[in-house]
Amino acid sequence: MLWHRLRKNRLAMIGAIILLVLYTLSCFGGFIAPYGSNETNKYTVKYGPMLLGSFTIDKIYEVIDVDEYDNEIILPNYERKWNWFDGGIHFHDSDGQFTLRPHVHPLREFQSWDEYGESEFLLAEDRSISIPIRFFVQRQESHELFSLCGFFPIAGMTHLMGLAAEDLPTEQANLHTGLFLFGTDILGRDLWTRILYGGQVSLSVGLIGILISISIGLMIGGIAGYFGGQVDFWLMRLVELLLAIPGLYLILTLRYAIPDELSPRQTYLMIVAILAIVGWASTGRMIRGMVLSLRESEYALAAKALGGSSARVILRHLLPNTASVVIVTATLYVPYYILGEVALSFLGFGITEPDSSWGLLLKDCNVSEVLKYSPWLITPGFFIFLAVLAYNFLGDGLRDAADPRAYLGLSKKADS
Amino acid sequence: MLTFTIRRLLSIPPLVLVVSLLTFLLLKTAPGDFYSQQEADPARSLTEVLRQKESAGLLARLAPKQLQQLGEFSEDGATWAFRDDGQKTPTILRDGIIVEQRLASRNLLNFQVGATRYQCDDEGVVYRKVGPIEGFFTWFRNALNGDFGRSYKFNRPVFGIIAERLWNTLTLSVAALAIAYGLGVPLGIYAAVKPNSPIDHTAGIFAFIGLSVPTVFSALLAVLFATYSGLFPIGDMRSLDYHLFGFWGKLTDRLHHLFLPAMVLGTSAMAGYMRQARGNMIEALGQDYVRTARAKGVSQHGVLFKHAFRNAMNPLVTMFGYSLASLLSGSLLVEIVMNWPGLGRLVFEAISAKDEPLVLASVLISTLLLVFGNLVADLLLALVDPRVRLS
Repeated sequence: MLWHRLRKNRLAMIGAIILLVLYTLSCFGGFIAPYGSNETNKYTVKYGPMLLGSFTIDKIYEVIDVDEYDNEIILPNYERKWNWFDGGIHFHDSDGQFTLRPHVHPLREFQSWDEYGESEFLLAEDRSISIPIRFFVQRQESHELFSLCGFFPIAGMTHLMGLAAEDLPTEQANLHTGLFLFGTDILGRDLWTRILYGGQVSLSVGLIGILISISIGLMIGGIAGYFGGQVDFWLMRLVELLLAIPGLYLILTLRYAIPDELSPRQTYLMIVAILAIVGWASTGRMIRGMVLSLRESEYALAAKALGGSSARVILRHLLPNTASVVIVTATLYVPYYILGEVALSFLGFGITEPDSSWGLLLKDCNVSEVLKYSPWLITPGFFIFLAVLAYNFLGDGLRDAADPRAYLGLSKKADS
Repeated sequence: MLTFTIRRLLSIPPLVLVVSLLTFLLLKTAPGDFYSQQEADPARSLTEVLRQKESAGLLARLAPKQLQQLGEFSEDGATWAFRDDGQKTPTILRDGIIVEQRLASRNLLNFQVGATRYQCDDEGVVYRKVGPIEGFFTWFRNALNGDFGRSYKFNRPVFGIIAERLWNTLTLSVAALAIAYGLGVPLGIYAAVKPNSPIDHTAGIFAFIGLSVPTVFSALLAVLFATYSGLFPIGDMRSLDYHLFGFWGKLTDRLHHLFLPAMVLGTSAMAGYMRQARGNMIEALGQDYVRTARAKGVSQHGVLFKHAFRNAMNPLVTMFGYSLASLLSGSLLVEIVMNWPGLGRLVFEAISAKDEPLVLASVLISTLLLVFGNLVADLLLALVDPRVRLS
């Protein structure tokens, strides 16, 4: 019934499809990514997204003065220009012949001087050469190909696409190659690869976090609502305490109490634990309210009269009746967990280098010079937005599809 | 309603007590403190650092007589003892032999007797580390007298710092709220008057997008926009030459700096109001009194604004209190990205620097704001809607 109604909701279905794509991308991230999660290349620092265009050298030299014989004194000074949808991924080979196979140009280094007189290397396309992009390419090193949100990794050497070693030009020293669909970051790593690996963390934190906090919420809400009295009173005071401190402040304070030196796995668990501790309170209170009203329903009284234990009544009769509300709430709350991880990593208290997460990737943008000269580094933010949007679409559709009266806690009123 | 208010007000002090205890304990379980780095720095005088820690309430100085009572203890593979010779500092014995205080301090920088930890400086002054519970009660006693401690980093009373920053955050939040209400409510009403029209659908999609854009992302986009267009300043609340402007110049400068952060915060909050206003308005338009009004010939304008609007606005009025509190939390990231010197950024800086009194006081203040915001929201709802009974 719920599924039937949900399928008619176009926005909800769009959300579900986006989520499916995002989770598949992150699970097969290692395979889809052309590089390993932390393959740095100091020569390809801050190159723009090849999907959207290319950098070319615009200005070759600068005339700084004219000597007494009217000869120009020339300083080789290059200026880089961004070309929208020109170059980058293109469909012709080195001879200019059209092919169906996508190609990329190699990147050439040009030494230049910035406004402070410091030497800098500018990367720009060398359009005389085209390198074909190979599919199912074999890399020399073994990388993680598949993992379920960062767990159960399977390693291998085949990548969906990439540049084959035999196609690369080897003779020139200042020529660098790479397939950078979304550009490279400040350490020369492929941003698309980082986004895929980062998604494994950012997307799974939401799922695992909500699972834990909903379980805690069900347990505590069920106990408080069923037993009432003193138990209820004190558990609700605890809930009020957690809700009284502004969310991010509480998250940051909790994070403060935990040592800084953690392994990647510990960091991940720490983030999930913190978000779950902060997040269970509101669901707990909601479930308590529902259990409180369901407790008086006939079937619950019948189960109790037939000698069912408290645990059995709560687990078998009361909590299953909150299921639709719980599913809706869970879907609507997942974004808060994703955003919580993003906030923690963005502030430098969550996932740290060399691991990757969407919040951590955005952290580079917090330096205004970096943001100004490499604006493509903001791309991970778009993926966060997409994930949150998809969850909101789906959650809203689910809410409409589930009984709205049940959602508002009005079912009891309707019965009487 | 009076009893409700009194009961709610009475529940605040215990809440504040528990929140401060909890925060205090959390801050104390963290490894290291503000002074850890200074202690490890050989260029700094250990005596000086430990004295600062004492005045910050982290250490308590022990008299030689108390030290003698400690008896013998082993540390670093040797047996140590203190002897009170009636001087200002005790005589330190290592395996029964007197050692120079400067030498002893190397081994006794951090030692433990029983469950208590001690620290000894170059001059042989020994301090006891104050435990978390004891520290809390000292802090609490001072707090009752209005002294919430001094910030380690700024070396000023925390409330002076927080008051400045809180004012900035409130400015930002109120501006954001004004934008959110000013744009969200009319849009929501317009969508409700013509439900299922293209405008309604577009507004609905925009609401979804507004709800889903993470504030970090929109703040970064705003910074990017400011960088490339040059229309808006990047970061901070005022220009460097602010003091040179006249009154109107100062005001425009402030508004100019306020605009982008307020827009970022406001648009993310706007979507919620829009959906709420639309939902309320549609519900109100379906009521019997609207049909009655229509039947007796009230104009469309009159029906909308005299009958439906006033009823639809009730829940929105009360959302004001709640949203002020939630904006407090939401503005943290915007403040950090857009360099707005508000409370959120202060907390972030204080946590990074391990400035515990400042963190504690900021968490307390923000909690109080949230609790009072919720109370005001509940009272407002009862005021504007006589059907609501507070119990």
